[in-house]
Amino acid sequence: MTEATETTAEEQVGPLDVLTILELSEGVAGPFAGKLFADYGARVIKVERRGKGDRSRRHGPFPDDVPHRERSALFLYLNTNKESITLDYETASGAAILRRLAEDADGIIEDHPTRRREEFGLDAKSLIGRIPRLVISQVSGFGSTGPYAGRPWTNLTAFAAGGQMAMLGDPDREPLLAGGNQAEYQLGLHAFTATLGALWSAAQTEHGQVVDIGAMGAMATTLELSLSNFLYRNRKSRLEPVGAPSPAIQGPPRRGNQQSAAIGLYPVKDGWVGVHAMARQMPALLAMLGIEDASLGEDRLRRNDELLAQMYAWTAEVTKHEAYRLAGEHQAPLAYVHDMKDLVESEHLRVRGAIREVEHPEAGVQSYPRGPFTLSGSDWLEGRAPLLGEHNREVYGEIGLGPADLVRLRGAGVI
Amino acid sequence: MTAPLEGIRVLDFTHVYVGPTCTRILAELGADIVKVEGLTRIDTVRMLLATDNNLMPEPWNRGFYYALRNAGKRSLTIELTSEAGRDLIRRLVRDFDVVAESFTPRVMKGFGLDYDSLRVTKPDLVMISLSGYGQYGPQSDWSAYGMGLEPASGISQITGYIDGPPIRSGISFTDPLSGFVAAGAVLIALHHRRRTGVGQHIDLSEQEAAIALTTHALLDYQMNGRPARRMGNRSRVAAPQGCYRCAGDDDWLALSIGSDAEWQAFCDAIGKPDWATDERFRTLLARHENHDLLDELIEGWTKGQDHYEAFHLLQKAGVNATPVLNGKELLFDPHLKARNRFDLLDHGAQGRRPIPRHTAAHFESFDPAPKAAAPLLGQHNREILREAGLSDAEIDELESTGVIGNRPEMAALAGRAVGGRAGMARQISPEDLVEIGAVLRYETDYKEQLGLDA
Repeated sequence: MTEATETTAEEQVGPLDVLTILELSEGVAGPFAGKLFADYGARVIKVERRGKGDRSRRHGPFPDDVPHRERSALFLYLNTNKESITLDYETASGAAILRRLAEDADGIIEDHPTRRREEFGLDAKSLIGRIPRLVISQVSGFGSTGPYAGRPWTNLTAFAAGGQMAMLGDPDREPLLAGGNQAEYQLGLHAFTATLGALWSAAQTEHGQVVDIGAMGAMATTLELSLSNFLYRNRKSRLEPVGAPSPAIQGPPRRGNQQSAAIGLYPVKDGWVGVHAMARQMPALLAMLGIEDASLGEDRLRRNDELLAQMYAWTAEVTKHEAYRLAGEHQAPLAYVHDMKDLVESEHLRVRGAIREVEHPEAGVQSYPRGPFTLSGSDWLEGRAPLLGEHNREVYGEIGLGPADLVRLRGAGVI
Repeated sequence: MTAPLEGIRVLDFTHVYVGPTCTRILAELGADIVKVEGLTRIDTVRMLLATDNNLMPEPWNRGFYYALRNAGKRSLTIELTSEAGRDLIRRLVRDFDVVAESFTPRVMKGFGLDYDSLRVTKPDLVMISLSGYGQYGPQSDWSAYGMGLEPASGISQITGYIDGPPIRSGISFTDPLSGFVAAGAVLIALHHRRRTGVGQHIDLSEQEAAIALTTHALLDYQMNGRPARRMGNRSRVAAPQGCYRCAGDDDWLALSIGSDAEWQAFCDAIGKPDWATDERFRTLLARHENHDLLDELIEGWTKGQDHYEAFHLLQKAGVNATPVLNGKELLFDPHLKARNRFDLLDHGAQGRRPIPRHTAAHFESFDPAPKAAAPLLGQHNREILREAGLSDAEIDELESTGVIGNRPEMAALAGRAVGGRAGMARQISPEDLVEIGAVLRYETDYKEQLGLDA
């Protein structure tokens, strides 16, 4: 595997560079899918409301906590490499423009559309009727079918309904939300892959389609074991004949920071470390702890308290970097809780080019993570998020609107 | 109705969680996933969570963890420690589009099965290598697993009760999320290859894939020099927002009220219209300021409510609320059922079991249901090798020399791993599980509840 190649932003060609996506989505979910397209080379035209733009421009955090629509960290991160146009498409003029733009697009990523779209011929059915190859991916809380379809949703409520929340937090208090808008990010991730799948089909069959993704369903795909814990543990010993009535065991959904002594988060001198040792990693963990009694590994569930005590004793005496280094040396599965400073300063991430500097005319130079994977033969793009309406002239010029047209449309509130 | 990836073939060397999640999604999208295991190295999760705690007669075919992750795939056993096995792989790869692997970096190179080697027989190969820390870099060969990797992604830093310590995600965060990212990565490479005829090698570090989902906090740190704050269930914007105890053992309602209008709707819906005009709660800023008091009052109401009923009541009023659903409740939720989130697959002697879909999306052109239950070890050996043009005599030879087969070596069952020590945990009885608090309760009629025997 070769090291990441250095090319300038102008030279970079991403693997998806023949695709054009119209992004009619705000917030996190749709834009995250759009970001993945854009970062890997697709042309993503983000259609924003004039004046206000994507609501994540108002979300922050902002430098010095001073709101500014070009300096919101959430927007800046989620919208790298996209083009921004402003358009009110719920007008006759705006809808005509959007239909024209859709003719040149391969896909649309949108939030669950309002009924008003039908009035302007912008509903999915009408658009695909005109442009049969078009793929339209719709992200929402609950999807467009089923008893909860169309209900309002937020990151918290989707996270709760989808099952991840029940497993997060201390057993004797309220369950907890994972940080960082997880329901929305994960919805966007599913939308990305699904859209790519539908685009693959469209290229072969010349037929697009509507793809419908709901956050609650997306959350429910990530549950490692909690479903099986309900079903698959028998109270009888394994010598009982097969066919006897099989009770099911329901595991406690939340176990705070220790699932068991060998799987958990522990405080160290200057932070916390996470450990995850299954049977085959126990020898390495015990070696790191300096414990010679190998049976403690084999009996780790029954002698959980004993191992717990050992873990607490060891972690109390190390710093997070010391623990990480020792774990690396022993091949023990341990990592310290990286805060943002640790991520930016991580030597490993720097060597891999996983943290890159990006310059933005309003927000200055910041370190961003690069795309979540690299490809040997093509680039991940290093561009920035767009200013609101930055590409109006360019994009509208391509569909034949000249400066005078833009003045008129701007004056009428369409652009 | 054809699935998008029908005709795409993946030779899948991945084991355990992240890789199989990736290929599971590709399988649901129609690809033919040939899962490769060796008789001396089976996927260890084949031995995890035996259905009904019954390990007999073939323990390696009863692991339910394996069943969840590997539905819809075919099974091929090839012994990678033998040169004959590795030659067979090189021969097979000609007929595959994608190779997926999740070994410690450089293992495939040691086998002579790395990207450059395989490209000799398959020049336009797409290969994805998944690992904890990536294929190169100072930490690339460190052990990276579950809670031993999650904290390095940034998620732990931003997850916790208000101003409390970092908390585990409960879902081995980097594994499933990296698996979903990986599926997208393979699709990107396939798109690119269709257009250019050129394959690629994808280097996916679980740490980096997970970082992609956590990092606007990174910018905040740089802009403002402050560490990410753990906010519990609160929002910087909406108020009130939180998780409130309902009637029952451990039932909760998640609530997020983002506007004054929504607050009014909530108060009316629960029969407390005076809260909406109360100076302490009337405006958004006031609700933020009095959030603790508000939480107490709200829980005073939710404590007497069933979490599902409260959900329906509030949603009808246009208020953002949902019940916190646990594993069992997800299986019975009517919306998830209507959305086909679980497929009842036939597992032979173990009967039918509900298996969760990994693809959340609904398509018009096809239904991403897995084609079959997770395969038995080596179930498709003969079928796959015949497809590759081997004669029955050649296949018999491979079987007799132990290159392929259906029964793992005893050492594999003992979980041979780093250091070679037998690392298999002792079987622990359900009674002991209850005693140590690992399980909560039993339900003797679960099969009837789920309609598994119908």
